[in-house]
Amino acid sequence: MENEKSLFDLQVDMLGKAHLKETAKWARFLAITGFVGLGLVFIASMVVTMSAEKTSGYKKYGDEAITGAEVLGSLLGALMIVVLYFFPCYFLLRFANKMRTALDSDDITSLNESFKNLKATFRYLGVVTIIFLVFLLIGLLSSIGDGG
Amino acid sequence: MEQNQNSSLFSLNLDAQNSYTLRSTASWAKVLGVVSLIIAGLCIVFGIIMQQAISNAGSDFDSYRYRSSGLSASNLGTMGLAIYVIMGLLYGVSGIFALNAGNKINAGLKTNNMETLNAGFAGARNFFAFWAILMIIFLLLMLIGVLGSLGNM
Repeated sequence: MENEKSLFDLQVDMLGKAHLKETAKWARFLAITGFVGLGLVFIASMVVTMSAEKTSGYKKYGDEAITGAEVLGSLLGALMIVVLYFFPCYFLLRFANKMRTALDSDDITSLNESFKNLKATFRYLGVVTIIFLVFLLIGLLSSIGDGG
Repeated sequence: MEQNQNSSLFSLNLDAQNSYTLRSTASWAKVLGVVSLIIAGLCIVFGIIMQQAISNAGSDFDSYRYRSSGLSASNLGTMGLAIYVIMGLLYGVSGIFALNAGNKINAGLKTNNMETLNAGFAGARNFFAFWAILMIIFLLLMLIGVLGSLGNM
């Protein structure tokens, strides 16, 4: 019976726990710095918007006029980055928290929840990266078209 | 028997549900790794194309916008190429870590090999550590930028 268990069940040993603990630590750090980064992106976009309004009043900067639409566009772009990046940070933080609980209390349910959040992180990043790849391919093809 | 009870109390056994979740996690890590590697290659190709395009249109660039900043078209193209190559390398390294983690976790689960599974967990750790260090650098650069723009206001 015990033999059967060792054959068909994997047991997370001390080394595995150490790796998972470190993974959770880095993931937590990444999630927290990610949230800080998101805040900074938001503040930076606000600062840029305010300075554009203050210095030019949407008038002239160098040779070109900065229009309200351009400022709004950059603000929307920054907001899009904030929204896009929020979810992987959130999943990562949940992964790290659940993993810590699982490792501290040897709780298999928390371990499963933790892996689910890790999966969500990789899935989200994978899908976003595929979308980015499509845009990159479109840009590459159009630049080849322009060059040719 | 007592030992068995102790084992279930003080250790983590990966049950069927855990294995299933971990296996699909590994699959997505592999997807992320492969796509990242493709992007890494494309970034480098894109950089080369951009450098060629800027160098070809050199006279227009030199006479128009970038003369005042002291950048010639070829310098600008090389700078662009360097940025794309760095981006490609970063994506490439991250992709290798993700692919390695995915492959090892999958292999460990398939063969019930704890050492391979541990190597997979180590791969995941490397992946997150890599991005965390990049994030620190990014935040530092961003802070410098924000402080600089606040100083200019």
